Amino acid sequence: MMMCKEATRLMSLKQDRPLTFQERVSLRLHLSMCSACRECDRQFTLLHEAGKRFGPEHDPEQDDDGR
Amino acid sequence: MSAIEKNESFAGRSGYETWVFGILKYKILDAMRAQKRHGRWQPLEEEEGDDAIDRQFQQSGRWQASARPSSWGEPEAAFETEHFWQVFDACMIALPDNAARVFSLRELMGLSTDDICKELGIKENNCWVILHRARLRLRACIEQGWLKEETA
Repeated sequence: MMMCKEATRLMSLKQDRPLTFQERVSLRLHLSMCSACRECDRQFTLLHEAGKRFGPEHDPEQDDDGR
Repeated sequence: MSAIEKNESFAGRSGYETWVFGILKYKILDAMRAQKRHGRWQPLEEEEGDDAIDRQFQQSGRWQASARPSSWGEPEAAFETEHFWQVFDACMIALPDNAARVFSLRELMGLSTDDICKELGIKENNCWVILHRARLRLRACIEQGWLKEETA
């Protein structure tokens, strides 16, 4: 049975790449039983959304040595 | 934290945000340039046993009672609170350098982990580990700085 720490790894991973079927199933199972992890999952999603609003327009300076 | 003390001179969120984002961006760019000059990404010093993370969990892998995540309410409501952004900024700045760099490239600049790894010359798996830790640190920091202060 997956524990909270491992569940948070999958919650984080989910923000960066699609989970595999197996990862999705085990995360969903854990979340269905763990309210603390459901909150953590919402928080990671909120951080992801916050980042999008926080990091604004593309800065041209980024390109000057980017190749 | 200096980012909060200086806040008074900034009218509204957008000026403040731009200012903090500017600082972060320079931190990141500087680090990346230094890394390019030296020809390699600095070793990930927080790789071995991360206390700040381990303290959130029991040996068994369950949450510590003191670290159990609580509700932050609706994201939209949080985003409209200036205090949320101040805490977010302060927590970003408090992240260890590697975590701040990778998290910023991923979440603030929207790069894929694949691109980040190519840019920094690290393995993608490493990237995911760093991001996992960065997010756990951020969530703990924000929860302490934001929720606890609001109810105090």
